[in-house]
Amino acid sequence: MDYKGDILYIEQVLAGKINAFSYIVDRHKDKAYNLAFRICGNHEEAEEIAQDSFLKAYRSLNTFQRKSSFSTWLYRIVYNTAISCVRIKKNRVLSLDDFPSDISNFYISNTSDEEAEKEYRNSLINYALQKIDDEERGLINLYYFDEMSIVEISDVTGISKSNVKVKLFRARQKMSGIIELFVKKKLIYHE
Amino acid sequence: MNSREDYIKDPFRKYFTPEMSVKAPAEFTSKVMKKIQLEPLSVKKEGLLRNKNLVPYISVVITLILISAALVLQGDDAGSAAFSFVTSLLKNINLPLPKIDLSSLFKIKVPEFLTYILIGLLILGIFDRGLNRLFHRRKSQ
Repeated sequence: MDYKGDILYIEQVLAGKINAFSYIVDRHKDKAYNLAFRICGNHEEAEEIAQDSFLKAYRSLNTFQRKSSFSTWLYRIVYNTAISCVRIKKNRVLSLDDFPSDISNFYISNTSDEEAEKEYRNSLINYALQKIDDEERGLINLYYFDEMSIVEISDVTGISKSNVKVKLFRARQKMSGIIELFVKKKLIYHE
Repeated sequence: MNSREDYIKDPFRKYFTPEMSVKAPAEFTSKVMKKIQLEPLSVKKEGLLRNKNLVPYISVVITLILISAALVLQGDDAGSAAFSFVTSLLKNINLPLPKIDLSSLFKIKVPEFLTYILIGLLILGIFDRGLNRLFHRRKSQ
């Protein structure tokens, strides 16, 4: 997170050089998109949320007080936009794009292949991620994918540090339980 | 889990590999910039209102100036020192100003309590604004 670089571009945008904002978008688009996707679980919605967040950031760029880094401020917008979006569409059906369709055959035939096993493990993690709460999924994403500290996560989400720790612990426990249950079911199925 | 060491030791970490992260679509930046181009003045417009928090304070200052002016510039014929100074100045300049008959306007009698109510409302407004800023400080960042 290059704080000074962001500030430079922000100042250019505020001075009227709108195109400088494209550098900001380029710098943060992947992390913003990933966070949105992890929370909403759908590529179309994630793109919409991420785009909307950048627009919101642009519109209120002059209110950015530089007390925290720009990325923290931006991820806060993405996080809040994504959380409010999924709360509105609470009863949506989660996409299982990242999960192999024929998991049983996949599991049996590819366990010796290291790459396939890695893919399977990733799929399991994605599956478990989709089964936990939106908020927990967001926290897991910030902690593991974005490698943010508890303090940074607390800044982004507005949740207290101790609460972030508790929620992360619960999310991990839930994910472990989901994966364990899934693997057990598959083993019973193939016995 | 608040230190870097704890994060590295976390057994769960190895399951979250960078290839699991999804990337934004190729046209993402251009799409955002297109949307931004549709509202090119928004940042500048808001920039003009950057000091909008000062608006109530400015209005207080203006109100105070008007109240003190009303106290200094008496409505009676004799007038105050400041008023007589203005009239003498106008006479010296010898500017033929059109005379407007405001006698009917000044005959309107406003109840005294109304002034107190207005001042009270003004003070409450400032107080409300102060509390608003105090409690929404975190949100604004």
